[in-house]
Amino acid sequence: MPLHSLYIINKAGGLIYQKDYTDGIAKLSSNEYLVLAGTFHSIHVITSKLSPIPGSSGIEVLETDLFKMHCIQTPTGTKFLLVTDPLQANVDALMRKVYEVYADYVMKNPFYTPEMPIRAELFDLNLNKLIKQINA
Amino acid sequence: MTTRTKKQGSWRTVKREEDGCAYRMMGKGKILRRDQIDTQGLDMPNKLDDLIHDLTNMEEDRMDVVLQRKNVPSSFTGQKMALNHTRGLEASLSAFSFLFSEMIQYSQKRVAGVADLEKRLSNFGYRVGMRELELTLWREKNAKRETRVLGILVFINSTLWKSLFGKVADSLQKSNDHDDEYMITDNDPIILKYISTPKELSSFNAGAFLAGIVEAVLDGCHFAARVTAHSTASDQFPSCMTLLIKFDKSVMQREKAFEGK
Amino acid sequence: MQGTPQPRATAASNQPGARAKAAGEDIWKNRTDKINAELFTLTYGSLVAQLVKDYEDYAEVNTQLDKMGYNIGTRLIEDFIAKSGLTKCGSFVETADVISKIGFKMYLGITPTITNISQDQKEFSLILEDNPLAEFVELPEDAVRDGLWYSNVLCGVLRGALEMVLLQVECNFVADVLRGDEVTEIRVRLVKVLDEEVPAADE
Repeated sequence: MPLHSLYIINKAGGLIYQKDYTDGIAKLSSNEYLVLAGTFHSIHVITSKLSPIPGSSGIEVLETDLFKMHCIQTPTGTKFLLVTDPLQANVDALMRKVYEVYADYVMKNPFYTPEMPIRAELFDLNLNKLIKQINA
Repeated sequence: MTTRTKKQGSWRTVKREEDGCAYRMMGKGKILRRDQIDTQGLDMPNKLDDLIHDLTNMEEDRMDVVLQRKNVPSSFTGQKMALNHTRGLEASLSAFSFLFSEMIQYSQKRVAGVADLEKRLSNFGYRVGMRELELTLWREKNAKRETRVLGILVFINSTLWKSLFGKVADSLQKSNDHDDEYMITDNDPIILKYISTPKELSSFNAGAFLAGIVEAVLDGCHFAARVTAHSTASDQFPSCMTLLIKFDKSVMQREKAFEGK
Repeated sequence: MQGTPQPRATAASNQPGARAKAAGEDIWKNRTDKINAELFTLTYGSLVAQLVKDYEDYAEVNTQLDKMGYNIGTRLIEDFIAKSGLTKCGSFVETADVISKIGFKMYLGITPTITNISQDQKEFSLILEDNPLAEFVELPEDAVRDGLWYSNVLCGVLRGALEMVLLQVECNFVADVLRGDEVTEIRVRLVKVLDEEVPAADE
């Protein structure tokens, strides 16, 4: 039950991390990824305002025949997007683990500036480890 | 920051200058100043040995008073004095990592290059090492003063590492190329757990902090050396770090003199 | 997604307090990696000593500690939320509870007491009985005289962390046993609740 891709979007809607974990996914240019992230960010805000019930969150799940997209927004405004197989279970638990890896290997890294694109070797390593476990 | 203020009465403290080996003991009327200590030749280790011995005895006397609650001045009661009360206590690694990360960022803003950054971290570590040495020695039941290079290295590799990290370092090696160089390796230094050094700074290793600690310990035990940290990362151990210890000429000469006997 | 504080007529009931305490203890025991406490304390001491050397002015050191704490706080909040799984608090008093029983517990292993909650429920004090940052520390006379708050980094951390969840606060020490006071006390005051940033597209 594979996990396809991970996107991390900062508070302002900028893409700070993108990784594909299964083969065969179309590669977009880096600009296209940025636009994708920015557009999603706007949609996220719009959906929270569209909701008839005040105080709703933005879009959390997008379901299609071929994939499911899950989004969590942390109280600090960072968004984690996971594109998974439609039948993938326990995505919430997985999201939580991804967030923990982010807190450990990005936030505690002195060479990372918040809100900037993530370039941390140990983050990649540990994330890969985690996803491999899931995809196995 | 181990200086007691006057109002603490008969407390005494050792204040070690960072740039020398002067000891000053206040209280009980005993003051030893820098110029009273013979810094020439081999007399020094003996005098300092006596000093540490005296200190230990006085400290033990004081502890007797405290623990048996005999003749304890009222200002002492209720105060946490025992140096052992924090022994074995644990703190959050996250808290330490955030603090350490911020110290690195703070230093980055004030330096010109990698060498400077490592020096700053080493300075941070040096202060820690000075105090950690005192604590460790004070707690070692049968602390004998190390006089041989191998002795002090084993002390660092095992006792000090155990005291700091709850484990011994992973390896201690002598350099093949240089007589005065030794290497201590830690496969997974806990302080480096979350740090990913970017490729542009590949020669930098935050283990410079540890290098500073070790350098202070060596200095405090009269094994002047230069200690630097190097990344020896592998696939299995991505944070693996090796400390390179290069002893001063004076140390090597002394070592040779021992061997000559 | 804002934590809008609703001043409650009555103080927070015991139930949430007990839950928070249990949660904090559980995280501290089971989900927190540990390091030697003395290494932590000595490292912080080394930092303060370096700042004193760099700035030579204790008021400036206070400012720097606060700034560094702020930087730490803005990052620490993510770690806090990730490990505790908490979302928004219902009131500022609840925030105080969470800070004390879960936040302080997770990072410093202590649970400060909350006191002196103001009438409008926008201010509270944290009394620290133990302060792991200040073990073995005694301040020289001039530091006491010139007003050094040794653990001022904590104020910055609180300020930074809370700002990331849209609570703008003022935070400062009012007493410290290192300065000869009876207790170690931090005062936290809610200035305002920040609005979510309006996306650029809306302009």
